[in-house]
Amino acid sequence: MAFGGLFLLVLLLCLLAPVYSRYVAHIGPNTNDITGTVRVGGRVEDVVSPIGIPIGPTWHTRFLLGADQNGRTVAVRLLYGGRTSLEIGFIAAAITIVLGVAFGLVAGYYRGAVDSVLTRFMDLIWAYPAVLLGVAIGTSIAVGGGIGIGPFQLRGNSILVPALVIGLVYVPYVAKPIRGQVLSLREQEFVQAARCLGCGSLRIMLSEILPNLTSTILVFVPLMVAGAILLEASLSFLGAGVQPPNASWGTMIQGGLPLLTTSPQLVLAPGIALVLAVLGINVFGEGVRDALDPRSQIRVGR
Amino acid sequence: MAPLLEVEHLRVRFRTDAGALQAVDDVSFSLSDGKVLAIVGESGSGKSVTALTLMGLTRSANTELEGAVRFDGADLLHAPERDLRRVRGGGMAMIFQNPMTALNPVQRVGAQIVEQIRAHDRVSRSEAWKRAVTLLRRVGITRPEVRARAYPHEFSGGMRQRVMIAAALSCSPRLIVADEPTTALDVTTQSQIMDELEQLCRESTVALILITHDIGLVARMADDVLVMYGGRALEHAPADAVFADPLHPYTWALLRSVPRLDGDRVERLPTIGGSPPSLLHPPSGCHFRPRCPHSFGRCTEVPPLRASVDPEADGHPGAEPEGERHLDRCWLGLDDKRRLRRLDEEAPALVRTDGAA
Repeated sequence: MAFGGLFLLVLLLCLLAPVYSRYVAHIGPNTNDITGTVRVGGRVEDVVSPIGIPIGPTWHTRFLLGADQNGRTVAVRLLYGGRTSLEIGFIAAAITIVLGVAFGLVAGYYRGAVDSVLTRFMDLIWAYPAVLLGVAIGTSIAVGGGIGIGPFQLRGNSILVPALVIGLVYVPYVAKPIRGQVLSLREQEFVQAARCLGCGSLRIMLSEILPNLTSTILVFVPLMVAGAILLEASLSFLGAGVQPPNASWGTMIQGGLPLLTTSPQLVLAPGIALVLAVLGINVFGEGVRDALDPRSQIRVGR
Repeated sequence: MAPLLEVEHLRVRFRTDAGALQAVDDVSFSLSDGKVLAIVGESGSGKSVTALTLMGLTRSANTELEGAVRFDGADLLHAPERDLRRVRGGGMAMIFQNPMTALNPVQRVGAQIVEQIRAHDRVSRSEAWKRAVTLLRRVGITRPEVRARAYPHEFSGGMRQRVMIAAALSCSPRLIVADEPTTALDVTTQSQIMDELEQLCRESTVALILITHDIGLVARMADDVLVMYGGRALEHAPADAVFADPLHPYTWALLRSVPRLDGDRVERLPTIGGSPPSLLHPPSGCHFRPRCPHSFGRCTEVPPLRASVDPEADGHPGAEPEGERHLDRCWLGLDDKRRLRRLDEEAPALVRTDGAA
């Protein structure tokens, strides 16, 4: 539960960043302060030195964790970036779960040709390395300036683009196990009983089979959120995810890479945040699994 | 008046990797409103497949169905799935063998009945809930308004089977197919459940197809009996006739293997030697031939299902109009059957103990 708490803490800090960061740091996430100065321990220092090295951690409300080469404050960008990363993580996980469960349910329930087509399609997605596929789709959408399907317009720099890409990439990871479970559930006697009493396919899928998948789905949610956050960081690091100047942990690591030797905090801060968030949600997910899975002997202490 | 359900020359064959499997071979019967037909036979005799076929649940790419199933005049065997769905639940409902697995474990029992009601009738959720509670009360569940909110694991086996019966009754079907409804229950619960089921069926003149191993149950409830073996009907007659004058060697062997309350206590119940035939490689001719003590040369040909003709005319039950309906599938002559049966058993066949049923 400690890790669950840790994750909630990171989550709250990041999501509430717009509410409080302005009052603490007096600076926005994208504000350039490249020519500014800051008072540290009685001395006035440049935010970015004349040779281009940004200031290190001041451990003071202004530039708490230092600045980057554009004179933007790392601490605030870390929170805003975390917010972006987490939002993408949750949206992507939601897309993955909804599509994965729908595909798994339909493929497992109807079997036959429907199953073959859907399963081969899933295999096709699965056969690509997730990052490669993400880069390919993400870049093409970003370069193409976004996509429009009917009334839904998606701009190339919207955070929904990486969320959508990541959501799609992970669908097979959920659809496959769900399909397997549906295959066994549909042969259960209660499904046959429901059919005997005149229930149609849709009703059987939604009110007989779906409720039996709840625990599996609940186990998948934290895993998918963690996976999505990591993939988002990878894609952003490679330039195919969140587009600058928007902050995300991945873009921050990428931006800090050239200054790794002189200003390691630029890479370390988002890196550590990423590790904490993913570790927190993974352990939290383990806890959820242990609590829900009757076969696992280990119970979470209370 | 046309009977409620007519099954004519039903054949069900499954194509499997090991070859064709003739699960049901030329089975015919009919059933009128409010009547009870018992289908008896060992495991693997095709009883359940017959029942599932009536409900249209054996349809698949590897199933061949022949013959006719007419429910209320309409053909079901080749009806489109949509029409079948209307008949299931509304026209005929099924009660399964194992109440432990026939209820959805993650749904409240009331909600399951509500689902079934709403699959047929356009009623509001609260209206359906009220009907579900009424049904649960009818099948003898105390405090139904509270129990409807419980999950299946909070019920005992007998209570769960009552819930299944309530669900089956939820759309006022005219026929209930009960596939060994009490096999999974203990003996006292069995008798209670069957009493209740019988009463509910008689109350609302619902016809019942009772699939069972339990000869006592058949004696108590059935109007007609169909004895199945290896996918074929071996004997089909009114229940009284079957118990008073079983004509097929398999039927009398089956009746002898039931413990009796009257008469001497025997050390060991008679059993039928051997095991039921494999439906993949059935014996030629009469399926019962390998286990039949009275088989003779002609038994390698498939005997027809026919009324036994009594050569000695009047006086014998076989010559009464009732005898027209007493069909069996054996090459032995009527006299031979009766003579051999008497030799097989000193005591007379099982007598119905209560005249009421």
